[in-house]
Amino acid sequence: MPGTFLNIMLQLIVVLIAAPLVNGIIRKIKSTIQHRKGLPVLQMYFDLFKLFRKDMVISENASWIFTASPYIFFVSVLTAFIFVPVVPQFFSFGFTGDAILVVYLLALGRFFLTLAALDTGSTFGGMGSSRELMISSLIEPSLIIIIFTLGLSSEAVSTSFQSIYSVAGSLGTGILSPVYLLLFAAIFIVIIAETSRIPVDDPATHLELTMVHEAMILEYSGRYLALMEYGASLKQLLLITIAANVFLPFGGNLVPELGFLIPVLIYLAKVLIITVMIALIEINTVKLRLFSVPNLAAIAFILALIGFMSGYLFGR
Amino acid sequence: MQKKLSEKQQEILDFVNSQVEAKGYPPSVREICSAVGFKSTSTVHSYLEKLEKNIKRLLAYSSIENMGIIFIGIGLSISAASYGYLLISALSITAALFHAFNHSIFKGLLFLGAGSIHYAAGTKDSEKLGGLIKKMPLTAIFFLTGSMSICALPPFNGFVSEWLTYQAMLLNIAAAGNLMKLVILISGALLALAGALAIYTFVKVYGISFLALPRSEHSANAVEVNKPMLSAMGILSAACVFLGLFPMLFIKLLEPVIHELGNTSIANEVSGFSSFLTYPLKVNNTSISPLVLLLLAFLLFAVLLMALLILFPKMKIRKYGTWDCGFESLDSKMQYSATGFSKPARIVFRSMLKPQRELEVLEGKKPYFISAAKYTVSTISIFEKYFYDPVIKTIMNFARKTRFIIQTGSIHTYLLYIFITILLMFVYFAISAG
Amino acid sequence: MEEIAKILNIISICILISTFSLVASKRILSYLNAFRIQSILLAAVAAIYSVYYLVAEGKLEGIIIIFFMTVALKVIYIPKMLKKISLRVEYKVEKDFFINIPISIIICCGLVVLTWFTVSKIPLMNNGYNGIFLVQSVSVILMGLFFMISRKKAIGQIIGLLVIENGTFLTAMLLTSGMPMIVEFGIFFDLLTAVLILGIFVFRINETFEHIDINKLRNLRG
Repeated sequence: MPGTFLNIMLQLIVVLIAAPLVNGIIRKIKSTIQHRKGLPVLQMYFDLFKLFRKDMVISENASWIFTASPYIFFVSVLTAFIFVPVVPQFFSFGFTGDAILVVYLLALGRFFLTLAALDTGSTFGGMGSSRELMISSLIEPSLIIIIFTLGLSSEAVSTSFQSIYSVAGSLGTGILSPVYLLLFAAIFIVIIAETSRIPVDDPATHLELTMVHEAMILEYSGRYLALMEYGASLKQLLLITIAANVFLPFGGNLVPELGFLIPVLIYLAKVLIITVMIALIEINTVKLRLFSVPNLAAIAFILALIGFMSGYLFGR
Repeated sequence: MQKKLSEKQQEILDFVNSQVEAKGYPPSVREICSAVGFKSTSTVHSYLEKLEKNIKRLLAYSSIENMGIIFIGIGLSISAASYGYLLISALSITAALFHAFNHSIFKGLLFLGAGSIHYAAGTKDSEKLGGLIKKMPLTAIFFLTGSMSICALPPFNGFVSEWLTYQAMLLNIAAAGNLMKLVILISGALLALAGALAIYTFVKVYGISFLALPRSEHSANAVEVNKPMLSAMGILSAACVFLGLFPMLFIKLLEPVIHELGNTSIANEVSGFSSFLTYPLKVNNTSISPLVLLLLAFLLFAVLLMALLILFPKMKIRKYGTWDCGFESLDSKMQYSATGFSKPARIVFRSMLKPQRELEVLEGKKPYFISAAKYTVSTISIFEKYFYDPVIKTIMNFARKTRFIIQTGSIHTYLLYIFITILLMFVYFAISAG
Repeated sequence: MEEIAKILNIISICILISTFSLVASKRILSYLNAFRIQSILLAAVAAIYSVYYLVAEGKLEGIIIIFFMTVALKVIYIPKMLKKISLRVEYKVEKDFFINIPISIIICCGLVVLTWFTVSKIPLMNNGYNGIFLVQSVSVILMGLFFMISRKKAIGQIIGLLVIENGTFLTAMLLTSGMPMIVEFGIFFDLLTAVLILGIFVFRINETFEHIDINKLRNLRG
């Protein structure tokens, strides 16, 4: 039992430290390619620290849901992270949760995020909530298909992350198998949609025509805003972790004498690879018109479905 | 979404509105009677019923989704049994029955909540509610529990039964033939879509009805309902939480039924290592334990709070107006309405909902000098219009024409039917036995 | 059993004939008389059974109660009550028919033939008197039903019901020497209640509509 708790704590520490870094890296890559100096890579840490120190201003119309939502969002994402281990050594609490639980925990966070946006009585909130809910509804089916395909392809037909992680490893060739390339493309689109990145949503805009995620957290300030931003970056890291550990599966057990140190570094390298891919996509595409997002969701769905059919139905 | 009103309904609505404006309170049913020209109060009642149907109708429609989930479980059970996988079949039917039970609890809770809203605020129309969370805090908590349960969010009971349904689908895909695999997968994807749309719906219902500013006098003057109503909702909410945290208890209760249906016992397979503390639900190699999940979440929350209190003490919270871009007269009409909130869904699914809008200029010259206009948005119930109505019409026509041929009103004819049936039975027996 | 079987056969043939005479009559009083004769014969069957069991097995079967009840209700009380009603309703002869008398009799013969044809196909009915008994009693039932159909006035319906019930009793007694007591009591009391209620209704229908022609109730439909 104490070993389990130690593992969980280490896992959470690793992700809590790494999450803001991902945001920073994406911004730095974008600004470098655009020939700007840009913000430092560690900027988000400074931002969060500043926000945590500030006082909060709350709308008069808001109720307890507004003040509770940042905590609920943050804690739900953090709890979900317990079930998505960054390295195989941290597989300890698998009996309490699986991939579907993770998806629904993220849905819990989204429920409160969107609800709180309606709490202040501002039009931006309602707008952001309705858009976010529409986008996420259309993305959910693809995610479920991906999880099912991975779960079914594993030895023990199950959706626990142990099994899901073992799939690519058991294939030997990792991501180079065409089946898993299709699924990887699908999950990449899911990541972009869920983390509100271009082409689905622009994380740096505050124009009402284009905001989705930003509109929902418009009213937050101080500690609440910090929790929301931190939670969003944790969610981003969680989805990247799933993609990285399933589709780039090497290096689980190297140098076991140093414990988990080397695997964690390898994990961070994998995350870096996917982060770079996200940044490149952000630079090379534009934000889609809101009602073109269903087309993107349909593409993700078809990719996932064909991945299922070729990988599980006819392949193997 | 409001349907177009008939003339009489519009008249009644206008009268009620004008009375509210003039006197500050709505007219009584008799006043409406005399103003509009009806003789009977029950007619007025039926018109009033038709005008406000929104929250309860929404709840009724959302039951369709839950029925779909239950039938998925039943179908999977039959499919697995036909391939001979009795254990998977038992699991599927467990998921279906569990979801049926959960649905009865959280749907009942939601309907009680809608009733409380109606009682307190005098209206079921979402477009006239708002801000109820401050006036009816307990009802708000209970309704929130019901909403979270129906959206299948952990740690409530809706989550456990949907999780079981997903697991049943997973195992059935592994066990079935190729075409079935595809069908089950697509139904899993549709289940995910429906679940996410349920979240959309209930954020809308809860957010528009309970949060932010009240949109009418009724909800501004709402008062918390009385204790019996609250305790009823409280009991159901507690049941939601309890079933969500201890699902194994219900599955053990369900054991004899599953045994009867499928000849297998599922409880042992599903109970994981059933120490009381963790009570995880285990299927194949996956398991979840909502209780541990809740405890973990609380632990993390406590740690977070402590960290924040230690690192950043002395936080002040200041109340101020909502951000209004300098407009300075933000009122309840600036908020999102229920119709507006669901617009993205109307547009994305427009081929199925067929939304229609109509702009009627009441005064002024189009297109620039309009002083009063009426804008109506409506959707068509396509199943009702294209499937149920024609079928019903055909059957009714047929029945109307043949009614007097069969039901002659003459006792002798009825006796004759019995007599002829008996004779025919004799003849049939004689011929078939011979 | 064999000894009394012949006697029972004769009695049940007489019952069949009485049913024919019921179908052939036009006057209310003749209906009641035919019914009375039928019930007396039925009671006789019951009596023969109870005597037989007394002698052969030395105990008093419940069937003696059936005898007494049949006599009390079907021979004495019900016909009297129906006579009273028919007198109050004030008509004595039925004038118009759906199916005239000769054709009804032919139809009844056809019913007996059909019953015989069906029963002959039942495998177990070929030994002893069982087949004959079944044919006779089921014919009585069918003829009672036919009587109900072919008469317009309400009294006809009541009598038809009673004849059906007689036929059922006959079947039970002849083939299985009685039904469980409870069942017989139940049927008796049901019958009594039904006749009482129907009697009241006939009277009321007459009061309201000035006649008891059931066929005219058609006007109430829709």
